[in-house]
Amino acid sequence: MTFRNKIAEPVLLLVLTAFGGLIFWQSSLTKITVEEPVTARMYGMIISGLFLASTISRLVVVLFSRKNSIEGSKMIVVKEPLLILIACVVMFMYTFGIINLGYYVSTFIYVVFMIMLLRGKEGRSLKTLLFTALGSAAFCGIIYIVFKTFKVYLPNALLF
Amino acid sequence: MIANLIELCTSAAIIWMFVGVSLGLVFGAVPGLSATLAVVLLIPFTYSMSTEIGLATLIGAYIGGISGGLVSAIMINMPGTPSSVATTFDGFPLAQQGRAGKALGVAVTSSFIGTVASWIVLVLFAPYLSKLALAFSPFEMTMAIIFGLSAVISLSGESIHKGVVSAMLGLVLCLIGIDDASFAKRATFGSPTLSGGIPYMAALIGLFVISEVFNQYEKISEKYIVPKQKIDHVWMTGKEFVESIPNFIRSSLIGIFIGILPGIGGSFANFVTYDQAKKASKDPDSFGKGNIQGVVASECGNNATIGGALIPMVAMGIPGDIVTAALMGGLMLKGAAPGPYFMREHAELADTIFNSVLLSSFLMFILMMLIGIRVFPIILRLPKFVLLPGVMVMTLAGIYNLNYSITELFVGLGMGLVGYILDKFKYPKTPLVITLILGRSFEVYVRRALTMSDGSLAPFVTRPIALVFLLATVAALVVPKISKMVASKKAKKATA
Repeated sequence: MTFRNKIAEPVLLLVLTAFGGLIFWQSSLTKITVEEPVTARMYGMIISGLFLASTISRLVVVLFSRKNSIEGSKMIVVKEPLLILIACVVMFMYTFGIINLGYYVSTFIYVVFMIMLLRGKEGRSLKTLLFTALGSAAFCGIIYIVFKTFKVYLPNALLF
Repeated sequence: MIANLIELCTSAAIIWMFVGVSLGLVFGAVPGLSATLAVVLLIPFTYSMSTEIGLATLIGAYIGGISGGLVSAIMINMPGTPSSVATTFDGFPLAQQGRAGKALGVAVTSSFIGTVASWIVLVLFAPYLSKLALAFSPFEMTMAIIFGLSAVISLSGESIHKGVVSAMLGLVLCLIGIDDASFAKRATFGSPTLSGGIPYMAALIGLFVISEVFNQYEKISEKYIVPKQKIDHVWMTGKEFVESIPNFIRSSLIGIFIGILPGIGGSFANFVTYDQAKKASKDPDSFGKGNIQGVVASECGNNATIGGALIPMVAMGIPGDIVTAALMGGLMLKGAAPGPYFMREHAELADTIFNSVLLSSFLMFILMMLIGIRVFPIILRLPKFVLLPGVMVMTLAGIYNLNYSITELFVGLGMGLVGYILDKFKYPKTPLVITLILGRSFEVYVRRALTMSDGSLAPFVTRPIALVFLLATVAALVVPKISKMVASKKAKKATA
């Protein structure tokens, strides 16, 4: 997947500008209880204001760069976009799994799924699945022993 | 002190120190786990030990943990600990060029030298240096932090403008949460979850480890992260060692100094020492492409913070970082609270601390040069389809164990994605990390300073130490530019 920097970077900068704007607005709502030369509100507004200035100035530079200039001609390449997307979703599902289901159960499922996903076509056989599941179970067993021995705390959840 | 050293070498302490160093090295080498975690996890095991052995074990884990991070930083571009982030800048390019053995050897040697240098300073100057650190008012602290922030400019990579955006993003993220000076809630959007702010350790792990996992997903067609290579040439040559001496001295001194300052520590020192090495180099453009001086600076600097952080703990009872706070907790449990009279009333324990630093650094050096350098790369050279899920699993467990917080898990994941996006757009992450580490302290000190001076900026230039930092900041920004201009003029003259 390829994007032209001249289009993609302004999108990023607009998101950052919006974020800076939100923090500026939130900082302006800070309740002041202590009188200081620079209050928490004022400091927040100065810093977020400077952030806004930096993102907007960068936005101007990118938007007004010539097509054949270094800034204008750059391309943003995302290889394996589907894999990245799936891995990202699975990573968040795994985290929710750790919190709600249990660390070891979620880890076993996550490791099996990710190994199969990352191996691609090579990993799509019953034999590979079986070996992967056995390997992942062994891995979970090892980290269980290590974590129990060293009293590594994990979130309390429904299952193991 | 020598009697104590002999006692440590001949008692069970040396075995426990060995256990501590080994555990620390493993925790350091696994991305996501850290030196802090290794020390914290070992504390309950030390309850049943004598105070001396317990201390020796914990210090062993501390030194092992800080040193172990270099392996994964060099072999898979994922720093094992936050204090090894800058080691990735030149260590990983060296590994990609087939010089992993050299990079690992240089890093271990530099770690050893950094620790020993900080030990010398710890033994000789502890009481004097802690008094100097205590003489730092908010004015000096503000200027010291500004000096650290000057690194943002030279570590911005190809575009200073992008570096500034990245640095400002870090400062803005530090605005979220309860204000440390007035305890007012700021930019929390009414959410109690955001009241604690953005924890920088979780953010740092996300930015450098999780984002690298995503970068590696893009290169999944390559089975391994670094090409297969023989781990050889691990010992520094005489020429390399001699060339590195100024870097050893500079990075050790900077590391010790940063270690003394409370609440900053190794995660920041490695950036400053790297930046200073780059500025001092005759060939700054080779940094980031596999210059061993980059590895020397980072590893020497982060290990030098160990002795530095112990100085205020031993001499004044003030912890220099999270690990020394944990060590202090362990000492207090044994009824020996560090403080101004600690060295007089508990001279043997102070000697144990000093000697443990020295012995642990030797143990670390021997373990790493003989075993670690050869074994860890084999473990880390698993196929990507096994390594990457494994790194994620350990990283999430590590982040959770920083503060047992679910929020931090999501901060780590979120910052991982932010880091990946910044990588795509070639926005440097280092300025963001530097401001994330220093942002909150900077705000507290600058506001306190201005309150003390009733809003006047004059004390920043009239107080001698603050002025020294100001001049050092100006010099750090201007001198490299001038030397670059002079060099290019000379080059032009030579070609003409």
